[in-house]
Amino acid sequence: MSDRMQPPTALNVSGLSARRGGRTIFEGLSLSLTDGHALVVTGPNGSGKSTLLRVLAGLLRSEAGTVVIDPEDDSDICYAGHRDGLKGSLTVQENLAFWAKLYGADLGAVDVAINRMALETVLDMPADMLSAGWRRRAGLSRLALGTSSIWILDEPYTALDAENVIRIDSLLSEHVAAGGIVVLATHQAPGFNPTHQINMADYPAETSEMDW
Amino acid sequence: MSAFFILIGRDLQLSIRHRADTIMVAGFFAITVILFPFGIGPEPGVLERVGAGILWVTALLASLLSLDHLFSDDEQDGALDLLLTAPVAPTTVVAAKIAAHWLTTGLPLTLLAPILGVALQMPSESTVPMITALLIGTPTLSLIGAVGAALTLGARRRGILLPLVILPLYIPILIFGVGAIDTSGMGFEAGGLFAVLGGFLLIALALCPWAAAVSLRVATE
Amino acid sequence: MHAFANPTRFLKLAAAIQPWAVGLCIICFAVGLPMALVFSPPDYQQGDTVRIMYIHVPSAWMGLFAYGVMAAGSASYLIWRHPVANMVARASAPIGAMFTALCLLTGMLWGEPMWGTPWVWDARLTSMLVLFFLYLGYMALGDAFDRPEQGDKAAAILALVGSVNLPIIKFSVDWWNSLHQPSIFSMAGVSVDTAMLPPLFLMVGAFQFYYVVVVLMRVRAHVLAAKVRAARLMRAA
Repeated sequence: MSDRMQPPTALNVSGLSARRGGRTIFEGLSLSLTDGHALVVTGPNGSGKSTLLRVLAGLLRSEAGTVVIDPEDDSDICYAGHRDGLKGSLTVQENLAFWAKLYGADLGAVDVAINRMALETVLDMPADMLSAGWRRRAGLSRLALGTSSIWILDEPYTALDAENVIRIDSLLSEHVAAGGIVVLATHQAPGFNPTHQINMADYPAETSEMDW
Repeated sequence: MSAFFILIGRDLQLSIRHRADTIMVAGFFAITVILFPFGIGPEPGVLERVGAGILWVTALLASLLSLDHLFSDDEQDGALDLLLTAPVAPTTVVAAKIAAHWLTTGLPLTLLAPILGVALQMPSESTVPMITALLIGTPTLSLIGAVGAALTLGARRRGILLPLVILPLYIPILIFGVGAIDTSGMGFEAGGLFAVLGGFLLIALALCPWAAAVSLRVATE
Repeated sequence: MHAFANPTRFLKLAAAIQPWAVGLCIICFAVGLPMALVFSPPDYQQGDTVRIMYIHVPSAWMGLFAYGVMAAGSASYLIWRHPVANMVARASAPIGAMFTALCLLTGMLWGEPMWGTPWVWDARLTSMLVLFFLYLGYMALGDAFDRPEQGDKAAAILALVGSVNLPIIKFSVDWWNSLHQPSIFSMAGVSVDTAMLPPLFLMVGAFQFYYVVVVLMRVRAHVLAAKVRAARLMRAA
């Protein structure tokens, strides 16, 4: 991981606001992250955690403000949303192999990722047959491929048991320790100390829709 | 291996797992073509005259069937978000999915058409023009269709909306596709018509992946 | 352009234009309609049937014009995100579709005495028929989403795709028509007497102002509806 990280990666956000469903969700959000930073995004339901993450990942256009990623190379982002993106009719191995190839990971990386998430026993199972927790693990194993320095994770702990929450936590803290960037939206406190923390409730939309 | 071929490989792998889908599209094509002799009578002169039209119209409808899940499968399981955030240009993702759609729809239809042409009593001279016209024309159907599939992603009543949006845009291909087969079947020089079909393909190649990628962005917002 | 992008300012502007457009529309109809239907000379071949032209031709023109506005509005909405441009585009569609339908209908009425059958696959009529379906697709797509914004954007993209396709469709239909009906008497073949021009232009003007009036009304309604919706959302949030 670390040898890919010179020059340092930086994620700079300034004056960000985003709309969804015809309504401004949050406004005036600025933050600046660089190598080794972990940001935890909290906030009540509907305060825009997922929306923020989708804007950062480039899936959603911001209404105002900028998101600048240095170096400007989107191979640096790995996004994990609510859904795992696993193909039900492909085995876990096949699913992971596809993402590894697409992200340009080397051959050994798949084995490392399998090992990290302890997926050995389900490798040949079609993803359809997995339970929710196993699917989550299989989905998050993309992170362990080690190709991306910015991880954007939306509620990664959902459906995971205590043992696997720890597994994810250690994966995240190792990534941060190795100089990676983690942006994590969650309801529960993560098992590591984030360097940054924001509460979406602090960035309510103030522009009245009536103004325009 | 470039991302384009990795993505095609994955879609082909998936369609091999779901091979019933491709077989159903081919089956729909065949049974619908077979309906026409029942509908308009089996007189050789009549069938021969309308054969190219029947094949093309049915091919349009058949290629429409599988457009329904061109992007929606990936949208539903979340893979679309991951593909759009992966280190690959969205147009590459779209172009690869279009290519896979053609390989699993347009190509089988093209290969099936000569057999159905025999059932429609089309002259044997029109076999080669028929295959050529479908080979040049069906990729354009997949390209335009992908734009429609991306535009209607997440829409209500999508099954009806998609044909309404897409079929008017298919008309030029239908006109020149049938024209090319009929003209060469009658023994005339039809090179210009194939060139027009090729021109449509080039325009679609230049614009459709881009338009579909923009539409996908709108749908995932 | 940006001056009209603000819906509130647009509403003020619309309120200023509206009475003038209504007045001009009424004047054009009041003068043009009697001229077209009563006082203009009958065609030496078609007799009074030619009077259908005074509805048919302006309808065809408006069908195309509204699509042009729709495409331009869509482009400006997608590029500069002007909300008003989107509303103008969305408001143009049903009006354009109606004019296109009127063009097809009068074409059929005209065709009955001219060809002895209401529908002939005349190149122009066929192109208008396809245009009608493009309108239908645009309107259906715009309303098909739970998120209105997605409908707006998808419809805008479709309008642009359609505007690229329209010349191709026109070209294809013309070729197809020449292949199948090489010597049919086309509606384009009416030799227009100079005495027919003033009522024709007046009718075009009347339709044009009618379009402006209705677009402004629809956009106004749209802006107000959007404000109501925004207010509801604000209260819910």
